[in-house]
This record gives sequence, structure tokens and C-alpha cells, in this order.
Amino acid sequence: MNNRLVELREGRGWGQTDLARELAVSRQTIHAIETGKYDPSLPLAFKIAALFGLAIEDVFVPEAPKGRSRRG
Amino acid sequence: MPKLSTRAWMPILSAGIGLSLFASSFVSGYLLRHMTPGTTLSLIVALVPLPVFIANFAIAFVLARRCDEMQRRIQFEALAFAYPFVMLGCLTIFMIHKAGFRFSFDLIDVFLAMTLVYAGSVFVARSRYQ
Repeated sequence: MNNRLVELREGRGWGQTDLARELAVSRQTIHAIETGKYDPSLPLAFKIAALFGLAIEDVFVPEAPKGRSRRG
Repeated sequence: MPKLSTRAWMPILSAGIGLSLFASSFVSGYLLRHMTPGTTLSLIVALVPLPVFIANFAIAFVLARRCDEMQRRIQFEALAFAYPFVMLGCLTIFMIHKAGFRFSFDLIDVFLAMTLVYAGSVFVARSRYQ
């Protein structure tokens, strides 16, 4: 899943640590989400969208299906 | 001196508990080798590591509760690999024993193997998300 997290975060002048603190997760989790290594759960995705005052589909964009994925 | 947060203290505390676990197990094993088996004292000495084991599990539980969702996934993946890997190792050793090939094998070896394989698995699982 692709996302606009880096763009949105930098738009607020936040570092990964700041965003992690806002969402009560680790900085590593923010890094993994931003680089597309980890897809957040639905509650966390909603939390991220709400933090930026956007709809979830404005933050996360599904990739075109291309076989099995190990992430989830 | 900068004040450490609770999150920073927990790994230090865990390492301390882990070290005390191995130390208490070692001391207990050493003393038991020099004691008469089947006595009350030998029973007490044998159970010396038990409170440390319980503290270790309690710390691990608290740490797991503090993890966020990705960290929990990493822990889950590490355990999902480490547990069957060590169990397969144990089963293999028991089968070899049944075949008549005897060598020293203790329950504490299982714990040590579990710790090492789990630590390696956490490292691998974590690297998948970096």
C-alpha cells in the first residue's frame, strides 16, 4: 500500500519522532509505514488520517494487485 | 546525569533479570552437584532460580503489553519461528536418545537455545521492516 505520510508529516514540519509521539507508536513503526515496509492496522490508519484531518483514502492508496504479499 | 525513561529502563531491567536467571541457574546447578540428593535443602537450592524465572516472564509480559502493533508483529514472527525450531531440535535429540546415542542434555539447554534462537529471530524479523 502506498501512502502520503512523508509529505503530510513534512508539511507540518514534524520529524518521525514527533509523529510517532502523536500516534503513540515507535519511530521505527513510522519509518516502516513511510517506506511501505509495513501496512498499519485499520485503527492506526484511521488515527493517522484523523490526525491530518483527512479521509483514510486521502492518506493511503492501494497498490495494484501483483501476486502474494507478505505484509498485511 | 540524564533521566532515563521507563521505555529505556525496561531493556536494562530485562538484561539484568536475564543475567540473574543464568547466574542463579548456574549457582543452583553447581551447589546441587555437591549436595545429597532428595533432601529439603537440595529442593530449596533447586528452586532458587524459580523467582528469577517468574520475574523474567513478568518483565517480558509487561514489555509485550507496551509494544505497538508493528513491534508485536515482530515478536509474533520471532516466536513463531523460534518455538517450532527449538521444539524440532528437542524432538530430534529425543529421537537420537531413543536410538541409544546418549549425551548430556538438560532442560536449561532448551531455555538457552530458545533465548538464542528467539534473539536471532527478532533481529531477522526486525530487519524485514527496516
